[in-house]
Amino acid sequence: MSAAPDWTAALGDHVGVLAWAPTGDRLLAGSLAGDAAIFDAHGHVERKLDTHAMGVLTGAWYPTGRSVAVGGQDGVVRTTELDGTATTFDLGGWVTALAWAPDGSALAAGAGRHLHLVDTATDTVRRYDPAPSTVTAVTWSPDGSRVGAAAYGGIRWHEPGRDTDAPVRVFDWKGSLLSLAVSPTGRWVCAGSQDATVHLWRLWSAKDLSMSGYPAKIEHLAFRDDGRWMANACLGEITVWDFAGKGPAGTAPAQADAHDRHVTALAWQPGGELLATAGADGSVALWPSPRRAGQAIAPLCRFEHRVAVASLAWAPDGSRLAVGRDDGTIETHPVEP
Amino acid sequence: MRTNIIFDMSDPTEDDRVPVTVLTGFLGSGKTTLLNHILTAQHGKRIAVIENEFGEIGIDDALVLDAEEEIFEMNNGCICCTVRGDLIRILGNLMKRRDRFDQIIIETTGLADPAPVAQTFFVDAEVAGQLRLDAIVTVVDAVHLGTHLDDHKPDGVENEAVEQLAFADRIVLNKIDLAAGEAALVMVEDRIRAINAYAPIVRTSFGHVDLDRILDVGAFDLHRVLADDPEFLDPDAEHQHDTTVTSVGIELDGEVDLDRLNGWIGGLLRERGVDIFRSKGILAIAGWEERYVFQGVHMLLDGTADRPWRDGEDRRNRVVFIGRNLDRVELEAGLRACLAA
Repeated sequence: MSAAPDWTAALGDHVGVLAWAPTGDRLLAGSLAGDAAIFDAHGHVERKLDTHAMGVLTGAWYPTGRSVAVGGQDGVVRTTELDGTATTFDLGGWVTALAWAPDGSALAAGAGRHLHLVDTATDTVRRYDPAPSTVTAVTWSPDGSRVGAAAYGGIRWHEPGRDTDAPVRVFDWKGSLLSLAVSPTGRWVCAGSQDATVHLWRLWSAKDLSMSGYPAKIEHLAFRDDGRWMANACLGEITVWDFAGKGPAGTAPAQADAHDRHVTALAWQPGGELLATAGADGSVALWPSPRRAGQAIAPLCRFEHRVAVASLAWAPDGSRLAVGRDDGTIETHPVEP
Repeated sequence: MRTNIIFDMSDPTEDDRVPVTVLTGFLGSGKTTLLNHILTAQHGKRIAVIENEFGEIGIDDALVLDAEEEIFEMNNGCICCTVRGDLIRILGNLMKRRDRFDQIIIETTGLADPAPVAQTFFVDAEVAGQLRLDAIVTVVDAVHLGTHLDDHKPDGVENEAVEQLAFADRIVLNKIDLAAGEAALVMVEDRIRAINAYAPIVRTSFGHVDLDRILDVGAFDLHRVLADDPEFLDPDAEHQHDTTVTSVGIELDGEVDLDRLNGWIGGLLRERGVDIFRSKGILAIAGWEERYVFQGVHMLLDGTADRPWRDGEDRRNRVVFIGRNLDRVELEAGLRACLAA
């Protein structure tokens, strides 16, 4: 990775939301001051989006990249087409998570204690029964048949095809879940908890397993594209679990001290083997995938910066890494194959 | 249960974390008036206010955020360890913003339990890394406090007025102008002292408090533990009342054995943590040049080595508990058993 960016841009405040369009030629960025914009491939503002009072919290591109959805602390989800046509949905409660169904038929939104399903063909919103606390993360099963919402007490799964507002299944876990990831193989779902554990379930049998021993809450976890490795961060450390075969039960993770202060973002390279991590110390590091469970890993490269990193996003072809910082700076860095 | 014995020898004056004041009190106690007074008097400072109920804040400079009380039980084997998930989220986002605040005030409802608010600052490393809990300030109404304290609750339900007094680091006795003279005020203070013998009481009317007495007082600063308890162990300060929530202060000469102390405090908080709201202490550990200081909220305890004992200073142990059904004799015997042979 080159320390010299392709381009830089400024958004004014903590860039908590950063997402490349699936087409790779546009980058969505949103800040805690409430600004959101779509940048073109050269870092110019292609379109400024409507602001969200008190901050942008989440954003997601439609699977084909023809529109983008943004949600904020104002309780609003807004979808904007590339031509600028915008539709606003006022859901009430902080909009903390957005996820499109794999086929684009619906947009799942966690707002306050409710999971909502926005049908963008008819502009109708379905509001599911409330979770015990604010929904913190939302994810779809890879086949698109179920959508899960993480909150205190576990993951609540809903089936858009069914005529009930109650969850069709609840993966119980007595704790406050903060992060959520389904393995691309469709076999596992993992959640990071306030209680310093990573809890994982077999997606269909709900057989579960808890990984404890972390010193603090787990806010970041992600699967590599092929589902073989799952990385999570706790304070300044990263842990990479081997999901080959029967899964990580009984195996030791690969571990490394990644950043001097806590890790603020981690992301696997799409279609590749690299893991990008960034921290509140301002540094960004690229790591190779472990070769086997329990191996110590060392970064391939690292570059330092004085301003804390808020978010990371890989271009869909894995050739560039976008970095959003606390002061509103956005940079994209080329990554050599 | 978590007992952290942290050897934090850093200079406390270098703490640049943003102070957080928790303001509790019943509806009608004058909490909102006091809040407006703080915001007016602190003009020029950037203050964020987190509210649970719709107040009437008349100041435009302050950033006002609404919070919906979300209490989580922590899955750490400790039944009374609850935290406020809404605060973790709101405070986390507040501290990520580019414009930084000089001060944060969390206003809770008259019915809110202060424990999850305080425990949030013990349990979440991200919050504790950027913010320091300064003090729990409880506002009470000089005229109506007695009625609230006498309010009988069903079994198992805590009287919130009692609980808020027990947790307080500072008690603002408001509306003294409406009280029936000095005798009535002394009687109210007496009732407060019976529950919480150690929090300074600040008398006022119309919420016009000298802010130095309630803001930036460092009540949770381990280096200032028991620094402002003038009445410490004054036998006259121990008020006998028919109340289940009381304060017990113990003073004991000699040096304690660290292992025995850990065993005693650990066991006490594990078994009685639900009933012990607050605990604080300064201890003389055998073989240590420094004072050992600690403080806790229910089962959560933080402790550290403090400044060295001064020449000529008595190496004396002082411990305070505020809680329900406390047995002074038993507590004193427990500490005495920790004395080094």
